[in-house]
Amino acid sequence: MKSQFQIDENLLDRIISVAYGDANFLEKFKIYFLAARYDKVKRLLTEYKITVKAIHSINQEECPVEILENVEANTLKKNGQFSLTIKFLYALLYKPILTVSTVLILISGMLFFMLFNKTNNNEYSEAQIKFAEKQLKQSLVLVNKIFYRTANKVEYDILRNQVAKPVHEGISTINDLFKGG
Amino acid sequence: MLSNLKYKLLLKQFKNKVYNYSIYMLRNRMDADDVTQEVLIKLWKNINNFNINAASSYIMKITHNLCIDYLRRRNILLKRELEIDDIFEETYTNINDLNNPELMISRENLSLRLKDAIENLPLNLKSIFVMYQLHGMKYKEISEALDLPLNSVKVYLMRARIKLQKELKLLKDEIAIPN
Repeated sequence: MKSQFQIDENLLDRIISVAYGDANFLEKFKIYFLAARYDKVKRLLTEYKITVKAIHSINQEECPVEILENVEANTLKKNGQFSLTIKFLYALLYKPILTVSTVLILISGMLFFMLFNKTNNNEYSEAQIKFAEKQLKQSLVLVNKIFYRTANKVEYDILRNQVAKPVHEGISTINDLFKGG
Repeated sequence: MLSNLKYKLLLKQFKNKVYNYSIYMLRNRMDADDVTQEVLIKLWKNINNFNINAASSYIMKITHNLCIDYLRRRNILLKRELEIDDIFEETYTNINDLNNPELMISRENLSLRLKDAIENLPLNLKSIFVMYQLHGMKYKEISEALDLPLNSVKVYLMRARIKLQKELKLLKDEIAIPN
């Protein structure tokens, strides 16, 4: 049974995908299962895995410095725009120490500013506090007076004169009419 | 100012990729140097004409097209020279020395043999293989860079892997015979 097992194109593609790490978990499971059962699959998978390992060990060659110098001479430096700001921003992106220190300086600056402002806001003199209390009391007295006057107006002027009196007159009229009838 | 920064960042990110891709495609360091320089200068000239998110596809597209141009020019030159004088034949066929089994057998390092095997892949398979396996580009980026449908990229990649495996097996067998 094992010797009759044939690897078709589709299975080969799947084995390669697993070896190269492109396959999903289920596919990997299936292929490893087949590899455990059939030597052909196992051998093929191992061969491809060795190749993949070798591919991953290939180091990229560095671009020669002369090319970069030539390119910079023809691009950035030629235009005379390669300023200190650019250098700083570039270093900021690629040098972690500079990035961390810049962030720390910014945060400490912000904290200092916030704390400094807070102490300024709380610095009131005794006289200022007493004056504020006095003003508060005066305003409360004013509000109290307004409420008192309003209550008097509602009770005596509006309810008694404007509402109760006409109602009383109306009832008296009706009463007179009944007596007369 | 921003374009300068953008260029500097792209230069750092892609200089080695462009250089390595050119070496694999052209199999000649001097040509690879020229192509890399041309690509990087072209990138500077068009720095504001492409989307930064598609930079990878854009840069590899320029590189690939320039490599093809160089290969065409080289082939034309080769044909002309061969017609003029047969003595030059030996000089120019040295480009194909990498196919010589004797030279290959002498190289024991697997990494070197693998590099040679990659270089020997057909052009259409090699470009996709290098972009995907060595430069870590995505299928979509490769498809945009080479103007190929996504499925073709996947099929070519699979073919490249199979062919590479066969080449390596052949090399292994050739090394095994003398022992």
